[in-house]
Amino acid sequence: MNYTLLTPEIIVCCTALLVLVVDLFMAQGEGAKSTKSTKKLLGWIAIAGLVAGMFAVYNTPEGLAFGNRSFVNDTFAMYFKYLFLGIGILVIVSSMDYLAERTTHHGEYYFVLLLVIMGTMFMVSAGELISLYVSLEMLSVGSYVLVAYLRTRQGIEGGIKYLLFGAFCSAVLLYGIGIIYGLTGTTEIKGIGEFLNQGDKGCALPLGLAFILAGFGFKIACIPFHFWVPEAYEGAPTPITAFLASASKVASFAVFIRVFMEGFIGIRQEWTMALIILCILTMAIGNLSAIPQTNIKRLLAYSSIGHAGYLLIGLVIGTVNGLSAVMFYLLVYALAILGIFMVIAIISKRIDTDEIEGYEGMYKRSPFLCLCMLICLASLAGLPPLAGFMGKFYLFAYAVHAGYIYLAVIGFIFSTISVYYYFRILKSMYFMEAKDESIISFSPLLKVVLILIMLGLFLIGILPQSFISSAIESVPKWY
Amino acid sequence: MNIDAICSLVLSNMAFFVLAAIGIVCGVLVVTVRNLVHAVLFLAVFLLSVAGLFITLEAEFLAIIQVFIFVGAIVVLFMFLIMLTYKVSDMAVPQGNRLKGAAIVVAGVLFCLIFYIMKAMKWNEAAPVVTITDDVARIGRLLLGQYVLPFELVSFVLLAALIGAIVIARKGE
Repeated sequence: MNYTLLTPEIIVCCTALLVLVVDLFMAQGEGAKSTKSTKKLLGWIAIAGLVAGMFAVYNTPEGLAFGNRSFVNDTFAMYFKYLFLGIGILVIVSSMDYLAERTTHHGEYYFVLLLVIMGTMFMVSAGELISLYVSLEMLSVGSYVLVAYLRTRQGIEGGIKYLLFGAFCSAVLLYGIGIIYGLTGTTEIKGIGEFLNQGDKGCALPLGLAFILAGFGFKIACIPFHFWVPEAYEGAPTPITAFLASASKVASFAVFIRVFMEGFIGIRQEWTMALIILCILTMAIGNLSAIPQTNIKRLLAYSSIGHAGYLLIGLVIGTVNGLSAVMFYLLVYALAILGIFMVIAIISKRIDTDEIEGYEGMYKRSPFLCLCMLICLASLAGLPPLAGFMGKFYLFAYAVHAGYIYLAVIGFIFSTISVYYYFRILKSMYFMEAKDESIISFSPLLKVVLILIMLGLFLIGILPQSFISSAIESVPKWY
Repeated sequence: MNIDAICSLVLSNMAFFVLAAIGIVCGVLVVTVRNLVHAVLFLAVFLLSVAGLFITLEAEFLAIIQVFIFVGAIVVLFMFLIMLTYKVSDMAVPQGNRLKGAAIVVAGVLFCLIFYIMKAMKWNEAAPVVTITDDVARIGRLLLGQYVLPFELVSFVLLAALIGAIVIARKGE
């Protein structure tokens, strides 16, 4: 047993408990002012914990923490752990500003958020289906809570839909895991892969595969398991929407890759066709449903469904290159979507609506936020020289290389369509008349973070080589 | 085969069919009766019949846990919930909606599919049947040995759920 491998997770976990305890002792502040600084302190503790976690990931060697594969620390897991901790920091920075006047219960919020981040870290390290399922549940249960956290009408509606749909899909996933265990006699993903390579398969295999696919399909929000997405994204506090759209999706893709590429790669022909159909449907319905939306969070929810479709192309390709393209795309997608939701969180604090109408004339009220929105949306749409362009370029280029030309063409068509609805937001921000021309001000911390996000998008877009090669190095040699 | 073996085979089969029939009838009633209190009571009987099925499979520990947790804790929790919720306990609540027909069709098709596949599947029957007498000890060793990580993680899932439930159900700010 080698518990030192768990250091990053243990740090995040202890930070979560520390936040809870500090909140317990400091919540009874005397004046309003002391309470406010206490709330900020909680956020800073959480950020400090996540930064410490990043250093710990850097210093953690590869290997297995237990006698079995329930915790595997490989380069693949480490790549994603950096990503989750980074996303966590950005979400907390955004939350510190967003929550200030909306709720007085900050400690529990950061506690659940940190536990959810810990869940995502355990998810990517799970080399065995039971610990994978439990850590997936940790992500889900925490997300249900966070979506409904502010108890607005939409928040409760979104939370309940997410909970009911999630509980159902989690049961389906568990059934699938049970069937696979019954067939192979092991829950270790590697062992399943070795068993299936021997060619001794039964007719229950497609059933187990389909159930597991449905369970993961729910988490990555692909068609037809997407019904919870618009409501949950719309109702959740905006930083949590950012978290769902980035970390939750990234983690689910990571386990999807691990289970299908390490466990089920020997029976590719059984699931590739299903994945291609899901991929095309997801791209089409996600992007087309985004067009008529009037609420910016719903629009981005549908567009994030569309992005899940592009990402599935990489899983269909299934080579080291294809997977590294998925990992690279997840990085640039998460960065852009976090930037967008941070801007939305700042603006919604002032205009009190998430309708696109409310964004009219925003150019006069805050040119900086508009510029940030422009760059992040352009990156999501895949315009050069931004990071999103390189992400899509690698994905589609490897698809063509692997012989899936039609997937690349369909992906290209729908990403062109996505430009249309992204620019509808920009049109209302830049070219419409403002009803109210008061300046929107926000904290310097947020400004610095947004500038860093924009710089990051440019940097990755202009010099993608080191990022894509680190993604390629992180893909384990499973086959 | 001697007469004792045949008798025990018939008996265990009979036990299975009786328990399964009770389970199915109660399961259907849970989702059809209009009184919520009755629905919860049928749920309790359904869960007990599942516990009975575990006993016929010689998984006594699982059966006891099933009774403790599901019947003992969860059903009681449901009961309290219904009692404490304003006026729900004596109200007729419609359980279906306009998609009832479609749902029945989908569930039926899925059931036939799973049934067919499970029937056609050649499960690994060569595995020797061993009677395990110390299953509690074995489960304990597994939970704190091979599966210690998920076992510990579950405690944090529960903590997150607990705190989340309290925060969401709190009184207004």
